[in-house]
Amino acid sequence: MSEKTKKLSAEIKDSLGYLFFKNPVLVCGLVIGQLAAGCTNLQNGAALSITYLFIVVPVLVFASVIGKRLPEIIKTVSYMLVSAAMLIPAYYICGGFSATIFDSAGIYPALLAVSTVPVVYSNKFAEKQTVSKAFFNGVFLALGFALTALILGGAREFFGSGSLWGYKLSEGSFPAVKLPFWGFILLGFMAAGINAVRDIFKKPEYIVPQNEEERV
Amino acid sequence: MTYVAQFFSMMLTALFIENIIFTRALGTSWMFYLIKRPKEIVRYTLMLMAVITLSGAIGYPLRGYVYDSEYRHILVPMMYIAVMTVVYIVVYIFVKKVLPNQFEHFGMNLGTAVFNCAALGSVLVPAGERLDLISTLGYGIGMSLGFGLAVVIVGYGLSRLEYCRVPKIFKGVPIALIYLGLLSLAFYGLIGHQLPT
Amino acid sequence: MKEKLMFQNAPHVRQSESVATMMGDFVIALLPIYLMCFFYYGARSLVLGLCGVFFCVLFSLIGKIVVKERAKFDLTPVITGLIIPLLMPADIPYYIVISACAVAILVVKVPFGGTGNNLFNPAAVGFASVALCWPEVVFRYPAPMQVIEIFGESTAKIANSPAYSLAIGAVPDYEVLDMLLGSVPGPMGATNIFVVAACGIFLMVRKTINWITPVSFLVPYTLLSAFFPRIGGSPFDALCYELFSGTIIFGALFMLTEPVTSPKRDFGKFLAGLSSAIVVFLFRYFGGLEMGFANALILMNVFSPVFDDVCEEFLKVYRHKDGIVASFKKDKKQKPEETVEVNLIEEKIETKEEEAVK
Repeated sequence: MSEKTKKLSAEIKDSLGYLFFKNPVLVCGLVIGQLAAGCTNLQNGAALSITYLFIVVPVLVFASVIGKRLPEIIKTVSYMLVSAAMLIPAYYICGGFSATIFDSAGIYPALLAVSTVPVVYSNKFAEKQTVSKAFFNGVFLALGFALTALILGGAREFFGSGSLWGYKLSEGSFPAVKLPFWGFILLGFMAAGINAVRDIFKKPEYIVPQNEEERV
Repeated sequence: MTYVAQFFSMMLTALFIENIIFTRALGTSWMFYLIKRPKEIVRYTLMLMAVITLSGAIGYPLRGYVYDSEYRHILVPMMYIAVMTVVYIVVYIFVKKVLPNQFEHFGMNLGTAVFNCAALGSVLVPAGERLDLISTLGYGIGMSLGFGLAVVIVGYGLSRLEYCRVPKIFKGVPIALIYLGLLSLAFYGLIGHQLPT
Repeated sequence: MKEKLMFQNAPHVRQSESVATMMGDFVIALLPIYLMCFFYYGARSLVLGLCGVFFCVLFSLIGKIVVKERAKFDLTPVITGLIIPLLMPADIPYYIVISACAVAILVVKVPFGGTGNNLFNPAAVGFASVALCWPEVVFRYPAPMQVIEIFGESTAKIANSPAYSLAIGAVPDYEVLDMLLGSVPGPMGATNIFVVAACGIFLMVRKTINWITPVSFLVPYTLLSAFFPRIGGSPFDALCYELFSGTIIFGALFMLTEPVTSPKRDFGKFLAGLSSAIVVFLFRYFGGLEMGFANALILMNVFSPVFDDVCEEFLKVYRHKDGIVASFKKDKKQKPEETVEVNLIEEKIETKEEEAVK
């Protein structure tokens, strides 16, 4: 095993935590609002996940490549323009799955372009990382987000209207579950579930870096 | 006079019935950040108000060009993000030259104060409902005041959680989310059957 | 120094009673209301009550096992399970009661740490969540004086409740005396004002609930509804209809006075009652749901620490007698631990317990 692959595998292992024990939504508390209000069925969850993947990875890679060399004002503006431009491929990919997927998700996929990761994380974290680390971080952040969004969207669609991805499975029984407050409560219970699993495996608690220098 | 009435009715609607946090759920993570820094709330709320008003006013004449397009789901947010970058540059230069004291306070966070879901959402919602200029401005100001209100209410409630014997698995993010959800349920009593889209 | 003060969460007990007798009083006070429900609607109301109690106790046991809470079992889930069906129509399907109980116990009570720690009134949250979800079932009341089938689809005759008439701006066509006796359609426990009031007075005499909160809620509410009537006619009629429709009296006596979620000091209770009256009035006046009491109560629960703090500030000014400015200056220098001591709050027992565990 060469030095390079060793380093690469260490980076992947480090980023792997974003999938579950450092989940961006449930542990770091990052993209809560868009999920609670916008992720009301499985299709919306998929649309949000795809958009998030397309926004996060390019922005983080972009930040790690040329972030350091730019002055602050141009830096923030350029990150924003990159993430806004990335809405276009996300829109086309989502359109490939289903024609109405972006309509039904409303304004929420677009809001991901100004969520915490492109705005803050890129600014304060990704600039100091290597390109490969930033890439894997982005991928696993997006995958962790997708896991949460798909579970939440599936649960809400099943209990709310009794269907999954538009296919009717049973009679819908609890329509209020699609309201934002049930989104908050369900996300809270999912986060508690992660805490319970961490308790069982005796993993140490992940404390989100909060001070100005290393805030996520 | 009718303009004033329209402005204030829109503002109250945005403040209570369509509260930015409790019924629209925009900018929640940004709120959790601010709760830990109670001294910053007023500063960031004013900044949010300035950003929403400016970008709403600049975007209002421009949105006619993109709104009837086939690709409006993409073009409208992209147009508003572009408008907000202009606002960001203006605000950056203004704060740096005119209020250097405040610039130190904001520090690295000026970008976050301008680009966040609360700001973009509060200009996208009236654009989607095609409100006129007066209503857009009233809605934006109500949204930003509602944000400040929500931060104060949720922060106060979360400080009280310290006296509760919260079980170990619910400590931290989970209990904050459940608390926020229950608070949002209380605000839904105002809306009743008509749910926002 | 050994302290004689006992630090513990609300419900605080001032007499030679225990929490168990307090809760027992509550249960005893709710039983006559169930008797009236049996009189008006038949045995289904009793089965609904049993169902609520059974599922509340079951869910709280499940919650205790999941979060590994070691506290002893108490009667609070029984009270929650008795109150929830009383807020609903008598022909409510059982699954709605069960989901209200699940929300009340599993979302409101267990995550916050069980009895004495819940920041919101469990029954109010349970009712509000199902009222948002199935408003056409929860706000559709059967006419009284008919026996409703215990199981299966109800075939009872449906009638407009006074609260609904008020919400659409019409004068309810019921006599005021009928409303006092409870022979009008409405929530099955809240219509018979005489019985509810008698049970409330029983609780006040036993000092299980404080008289300040209901009085400071009902008097301003009465004045508000007399001065700003929603319907035509004399102010007295409007007042009676507003006060006796919906869950106002029942809520004021049994839900607003819950010891855990209401402020701790008397002046705080007064402030809470007054502002709840204003908020409930606004919710009923402008709100979308015809009965905003539960939602307004949740909102007021959020503010009850604010009332406690305001009250504390007043007391500090009163005690120091140095004027407001001096007390504020002092307040800034004080450390949080010292303010807690005045606050009668329970932090100390927690630290003691943690030491004991270690």
